[in-house]
Amino acid sequence: MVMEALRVLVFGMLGIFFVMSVIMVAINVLCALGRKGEDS
Amino acid sequence: MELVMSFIRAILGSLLSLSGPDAVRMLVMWAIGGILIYLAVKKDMEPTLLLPMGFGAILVNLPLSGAITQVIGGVTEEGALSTLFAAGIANELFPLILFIGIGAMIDFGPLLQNPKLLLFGAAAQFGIFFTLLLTAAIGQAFPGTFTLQDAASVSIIGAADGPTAIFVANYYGTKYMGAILVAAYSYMALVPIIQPPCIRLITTQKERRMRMPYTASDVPKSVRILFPIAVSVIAGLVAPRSVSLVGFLMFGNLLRECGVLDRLSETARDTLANLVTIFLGITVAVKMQADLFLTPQTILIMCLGLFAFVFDTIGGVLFAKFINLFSKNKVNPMIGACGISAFPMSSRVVHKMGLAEDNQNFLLMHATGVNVGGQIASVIAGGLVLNLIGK
Repeated sequence: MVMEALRVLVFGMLGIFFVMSVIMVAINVLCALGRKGEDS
Repeated sequence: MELVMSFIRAILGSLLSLSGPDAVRMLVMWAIGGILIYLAVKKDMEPTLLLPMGFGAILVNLPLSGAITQVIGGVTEEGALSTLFAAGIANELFPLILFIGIGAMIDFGPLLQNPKLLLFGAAAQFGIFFTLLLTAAIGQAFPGTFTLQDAASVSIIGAADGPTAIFVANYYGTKYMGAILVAAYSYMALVPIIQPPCIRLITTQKERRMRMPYTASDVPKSVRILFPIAVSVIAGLVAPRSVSLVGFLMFGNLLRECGVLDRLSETARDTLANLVTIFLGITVAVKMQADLFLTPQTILIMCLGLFAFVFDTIGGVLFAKFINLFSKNKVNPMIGACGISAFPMSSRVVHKMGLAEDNQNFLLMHATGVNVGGQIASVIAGGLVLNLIGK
């Protein structure tokens, strides 16, 4: 059970950083496109 | 005499059905219900949930209570709270509908202005996974205490988010839901007491006095509209079981940000949220029956829940300090603690701590950005736990 929980800890933390990083990049892209749209 | 005895049995039959130990457990649960009501009314601790839970705890712990389903003389009598539980909690509906309301309340503007604050939200979910490990270790060392699914349910106290805790605990069918929710909501209310000592322990005064200048910038409306859609898709692709959790939260936010559904947005964040909260609070008390709540595991769960909150705080602050090693624009490491999903309490706590160290240091907007990022992170963490640990 402990080894399984350790796996969840590692995968979980990596997973959440991965998802949040992708969302962060998505926001930056959306903001850049949004500002470009407003300028034009 | 026979008539008198018959009258007493008819009127006090339910009390007479109790054994001595049952009567003691009943009184203890009444006391616990009373304490929750006291904390809600006198100390203003999460009254929207603690008061209904406290009152519900009293109702379900009355002998042969008609509020819960009973089998009396071979006949099943449906109780209203059991019916509500089946209608709204067993099928996960109430927490999800509440999430629509919560999404409609949140302004993600501070986060959208500075998206890297999302990473602090991620770091502050460390307490969830570390508590999962610890609970699993206890379960392995003492067989019969916790299964892995129980450990997952207990660890989600660290999400500091009621609907997520209810969703995950119910998904795994844990019998500790009552204790988990009492712990989750109590500690959410105690964030101003739990977080400051943890932050002071791992930061220096020089770090706490670090200033973070804030420049407001406009977020294009298109970004505010596309953001909830993007988050739902990204989170759903990685953790499919989180789609309902994340999706309902983001749906509420989309109602708010689209600009054409003001009536629905207002209904979601006011009437809908209040209605569901009323039902949720009192219905969750079904899991606060004495035989489910008064176990040694309840005390353990209270300790583990506190542990989760502490390590959420420590995880967020240490991540901020780590980022400062490589970043030109240093951040005040206290804002890492706001990645816990206790919104808006955590951001106010850190803002106050910043002002206490330096009365010209205004951390509120940065802290709020991290706090709303933590709201997203906690829901995604819940989804990841659901994905990684089967039923």
